[in-house]
Amino acid sequence: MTVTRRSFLRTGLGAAALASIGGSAGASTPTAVAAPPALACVLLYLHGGASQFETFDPKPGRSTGGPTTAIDTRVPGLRFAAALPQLAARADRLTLLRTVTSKEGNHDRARYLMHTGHAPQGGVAHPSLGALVSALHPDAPLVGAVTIGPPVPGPGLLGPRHAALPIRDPGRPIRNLQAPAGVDARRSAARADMLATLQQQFAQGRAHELVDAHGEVMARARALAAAPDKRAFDLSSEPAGTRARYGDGRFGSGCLLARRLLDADVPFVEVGLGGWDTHEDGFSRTDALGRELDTGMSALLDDLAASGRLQQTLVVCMGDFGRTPVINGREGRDHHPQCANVVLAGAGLRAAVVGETDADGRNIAERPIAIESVFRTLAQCLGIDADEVRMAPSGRPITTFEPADPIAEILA
Amino acid sequence: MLSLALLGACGTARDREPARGHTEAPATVVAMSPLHDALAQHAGAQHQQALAAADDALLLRRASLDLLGRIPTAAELDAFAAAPASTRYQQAIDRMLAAPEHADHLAQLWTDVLLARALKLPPAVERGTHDWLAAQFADDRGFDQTTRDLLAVTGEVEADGPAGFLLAHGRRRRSAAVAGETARVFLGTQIQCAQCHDHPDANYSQREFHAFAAHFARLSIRPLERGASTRLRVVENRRGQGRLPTASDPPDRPSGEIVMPSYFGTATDERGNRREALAEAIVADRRFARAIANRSFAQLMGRGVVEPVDGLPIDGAVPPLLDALADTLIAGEFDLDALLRAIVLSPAYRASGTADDGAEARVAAFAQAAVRPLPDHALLRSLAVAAGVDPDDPASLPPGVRRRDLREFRFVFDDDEGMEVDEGPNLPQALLWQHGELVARAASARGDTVLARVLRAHDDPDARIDALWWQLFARSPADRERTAARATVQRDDAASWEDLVHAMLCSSEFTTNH
Repeated sequence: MTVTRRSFLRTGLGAAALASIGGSAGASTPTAVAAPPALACVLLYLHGGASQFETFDPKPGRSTGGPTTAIDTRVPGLRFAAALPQLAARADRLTLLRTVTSKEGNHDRARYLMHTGHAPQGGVAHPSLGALVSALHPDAPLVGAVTIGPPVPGPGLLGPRHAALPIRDPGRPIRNLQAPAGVDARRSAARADMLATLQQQFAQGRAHELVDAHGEVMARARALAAAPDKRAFDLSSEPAGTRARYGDGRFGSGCLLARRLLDADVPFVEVGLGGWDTHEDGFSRTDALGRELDTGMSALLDDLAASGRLQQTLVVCMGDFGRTPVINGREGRDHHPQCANVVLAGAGLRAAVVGETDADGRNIAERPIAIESVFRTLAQCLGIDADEVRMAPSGRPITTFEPADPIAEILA
Repeated sequence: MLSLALLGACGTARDREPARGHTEAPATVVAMSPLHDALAQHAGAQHQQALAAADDALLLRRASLDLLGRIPTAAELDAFAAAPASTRYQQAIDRMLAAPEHADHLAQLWTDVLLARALKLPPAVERGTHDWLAAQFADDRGFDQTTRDLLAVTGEVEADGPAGFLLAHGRRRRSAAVAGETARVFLGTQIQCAQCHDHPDANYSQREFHAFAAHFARLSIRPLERGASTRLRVVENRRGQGRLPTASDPPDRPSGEIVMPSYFGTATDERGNRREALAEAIVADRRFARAIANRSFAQLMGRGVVEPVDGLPIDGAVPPLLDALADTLIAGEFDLDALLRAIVLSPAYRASGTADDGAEARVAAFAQAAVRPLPDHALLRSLAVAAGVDPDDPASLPPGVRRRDLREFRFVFDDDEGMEVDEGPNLPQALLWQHGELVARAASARGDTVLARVLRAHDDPDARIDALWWQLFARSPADRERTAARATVQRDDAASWEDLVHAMLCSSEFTTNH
């Protein structure tokens, strides 16, 4: 568990800086009250698997580096790909894991692994990170989890009540969030009462898990439709300047929506950025994708810091896997689960770089980080009991996350 | 449409003889069937005398949902209630199995199985695969024949015919992907993890997997013309070899040692069409009969004998019940209807869902069918029945429902078998169901909906409530339901009756198969 040469730890300074940012937003932050609030989490998910060479671990001038150039960051000695200028300027707020390894090189399997911490196994549906966070916030006012973008693994054995609300396009309002004209609160209540009786009657003597879940999800939908905070889902009230700051693509809008939802106390929001599966013609595509990530993530970090929420929010940026050091014949890179980047921020984590690849990025030079360790670290940050055992319907005991040591050097 | 006298008559009949009809009927059926013996054996002694059979009308509703993908119409319910109790269930089953609607429903279920986990497909392919399957089922072709067509199809074909499966999984030389799906769907086993390494739980090597995949090494699928054409040429090339992957190979482009095609260790004669040889080997394999029987059983009982349904062992024994099902399928020359018929006539299927604390154990032992959500097309067709439109006519929509609403419905309810795990109800579905146009129209007091007809036919609130429960749930209301319903319709205006029906359509009872 060594900290690499180039790693830097900003123990005192980082914490102090974050505290002062948080403090400036309002002296009456509820940190002084009893137990600290459970943390929220935003996951920025890079679908397809982002190239580490074109994002957070560029190797310009090496045979594996491709045409990607690197730029200096706020942290001396640390360089990012040129597509990430804004994140480079905020590198001192980031915790960069450069040597995350796994064994899953297939998209579906890797996406499952990176959402649940487990390799897929037949017959067991492990809960996703979003569902685990949702379960820690049973009283979340709107919903426990939201996923913006492409579909991702669901709540598994935690059940439908912790399924994320999926939003394909953040720019379009959620459909059917409003009761139809003519159905006022009284009529909605009459329908709900009648439905409750029907559900009770039907559940009697049946294996009623499904019946309960149905009733509960129906009730949650009604509560969501009635919640004043549902305005949080509507981006149209955001000023043009703010929208521009986040970027006008779906990912930028998704990050802005994520901020609004976090402000409305939604405990987990995932924003997906698709298109990173760059087997062909990779370099122009990763440049455009990197800029989208750079803009959206930077604006989100800024706003969370300004409102003081960053301390109570864990920001995670990761994807299916890394990509090969070897550039294939089609100017692209293929799947490379042996080494990927994961970026964390907020939640009082120490800003640091953990792990190092060799000069060509072919191999891990120092501190390989098993994906299981990453999930153990996320669990510790978020207050998830990583050792909790749940029973799968098959009767098999399922531990929340695989055994591993959390990454101690970044945990405060 | 619904006569008061008839409703009254059938109501009394049901009240007077709650269980007699079906205690007689099964006796004649059960004794003959080794499958039913196997079911009883499987359930074990502790579940033997567990349950009274479900009320006949409830059973008709369940079978209609399972075989036709919709609730029975008022006319069907009334005709059923008027028929002689000893034979009506069996007769109703035979009528349903012969109906084009049944072929359509079965085609929908199998289209979902065949095309799940597919690359993105043009909607025409999905629709066309469904139509082609429906024609096979309607012609009573054996599922072994259908499987041969799906795997071995060669030549110039429409993209929407039997080529759908290969097109979905085998485009762009993805021989490992199509091999994995072939084993999953037609053999019920997961072997694709052996693409990269030897199987962790079974005696199945990476080499064996690639020998299986080598059957697809000569498959190529080319559009006949560029552009919007749906005509394809599915070719079995003269050359092309399966290869083992090396460490540096990109996915689906293995470049290592050549592997000759073989089927679980038996070398395939590779002079002819390799896919044809594979299809022959598959349909002659007991694993095939087990896999198809297990899925058919799960479609009706809510769970496969082995779960997950694509988790059958590559080698080794399965529960005797699954072998009994497989035997039934083989004896019927892979006519799925014969197997489905045997299952729906079994006491296990006919057992009531309502019971005591033992329900879960009985469902697990197949002494009782599980409650499960309806597939999306069955929800839609059942709504059509409630809305008073012809569920058989895809062009007939309830008044006020737009194509857009249907598209949205399909999007929200599209079961994603790709996830392999039923995640249960979700928020977008609940929002659409409660606030969307489709359910609102089906609950409307205007037009020719169930509610509108009931309101026209009866004046007395209790008679109306009875009629609604009969037509939507195929039973009488329980006391507390009647009390709640009376409270809901206290104002006795159209809106409050709509609220009642809306709640009924939102209930688990309407959206599941029980």
